[in-house]
Amino acid sequence: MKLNIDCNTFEHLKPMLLSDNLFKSNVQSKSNNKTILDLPSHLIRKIIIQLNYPTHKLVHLRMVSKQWKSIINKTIFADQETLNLFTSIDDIKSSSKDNCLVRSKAMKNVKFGSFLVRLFPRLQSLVVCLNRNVGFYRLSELVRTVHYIKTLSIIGELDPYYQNDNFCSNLFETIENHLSHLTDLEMSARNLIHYNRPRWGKPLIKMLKTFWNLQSLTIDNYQGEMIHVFTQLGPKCIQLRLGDGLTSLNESFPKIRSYFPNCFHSVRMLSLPTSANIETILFCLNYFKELNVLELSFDKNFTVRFF
Amino acid sequence: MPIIKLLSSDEEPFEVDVDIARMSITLRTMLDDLGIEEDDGEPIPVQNVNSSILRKVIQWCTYHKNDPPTPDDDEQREKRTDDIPSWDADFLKVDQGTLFEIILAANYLDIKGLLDVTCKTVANMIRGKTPEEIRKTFNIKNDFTPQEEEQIRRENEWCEEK
Repeated sequence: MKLNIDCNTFEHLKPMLLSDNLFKSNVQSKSNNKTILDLPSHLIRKIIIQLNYPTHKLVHLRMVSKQWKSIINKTIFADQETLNLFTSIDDIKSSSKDNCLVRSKAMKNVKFGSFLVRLFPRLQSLVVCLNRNVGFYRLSELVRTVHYIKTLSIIGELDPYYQNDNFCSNLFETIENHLSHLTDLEMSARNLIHYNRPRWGKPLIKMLKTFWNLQSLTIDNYQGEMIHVFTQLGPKCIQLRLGDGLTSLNESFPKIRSYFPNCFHSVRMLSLPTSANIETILFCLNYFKELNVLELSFDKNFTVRFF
Repeated sequence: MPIIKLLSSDEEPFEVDVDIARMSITLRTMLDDLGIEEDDGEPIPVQNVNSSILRKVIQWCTYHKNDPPTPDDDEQREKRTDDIPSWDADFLKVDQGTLFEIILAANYLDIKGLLDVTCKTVANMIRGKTPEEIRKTFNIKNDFTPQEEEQIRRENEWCEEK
């Protein structure tokens, strides 16, 4: 069957169709038949960046196509310098593109570290947020694989009875022996330092090489002698943040005086917790010779900085 | 107001205020290099942009001619896609082909404000979708081999999706 249609047949419909946005858009799509595949990589990257997705969502976005995987791997992840690892969404306090929410099985898999290294070859700073409900069985291996980082923060809370034996000492040993570029260290996770102490003694941090090279140390929830921490710090340490979980802070300072550690000459910024008493504050003002900034927290929401 | 003539890739001439044309860094550089301040008879060819898209670009620039300059890209700055002005949102209610043509034109003509708002529009079309849904929305072919797909799927299992 042959169908002959005279264009004039539809002439009377033209004004109605022309006023219709749908018709206009169809006309445009005929002449403008570009697709997202026609965009150069830098524009697809720009669109992906505009999403402001956290890292874990970008990891999944790589599934779209080879081109997207390549763009995300080579132009976003390859330049990423900071990674904040979380195992629970409840631990994420602020949104950041560097946040990466991982499943607990990642922390038990020895290959997860090499995956991170492959994805983030320029990583400078790693934050690991511990969580009571997760076993961080492979944390030491993970830290060892990212041996090139300059900043390591271990935050959150650990369930000591959920971890391997010697979890803490293995981690410190790894930091000491493998993170040779480390300049900033934060150890503020609850139960990280004290749990595997012997019943008869206080916990001990022994990372002489690491502490000697630190420029910044943040320490909290350590129930051992602060004197061990202070005496290990080297002449490069310019920033020291002490947290409220340091139970023997005020008693430690008078003892430290006789050691006159290097940090008395180097620390420029000191942060003291709410538990610091007036004697401790005066001691710090007296003995930290290069102090430019003293930060005093009276409660969580109120901090005074003296310059 | 001095006027210049632009010539689209399909050779349709457009008369445009110089100030509006200068919102395009590409055209501004061209005008400065050639010392053109107003219409000297010769239209300036805009080779990569056809008439229907150039018309849209001029329309956008005309509406935004008094906007303050768009700040330079800062990757550290938090990106937002929920701040598209309503006029722009209406303006960009076009089919995908036109939207991508406008993006390409904004990129070629180097009009940062237009490029930003069009990329945000596409980002909003992607937001919340699974990779499969994204492929479907933009007609992207899944070009992974089964082995590659399996490997990437295994890696992705370490990370949460939401």
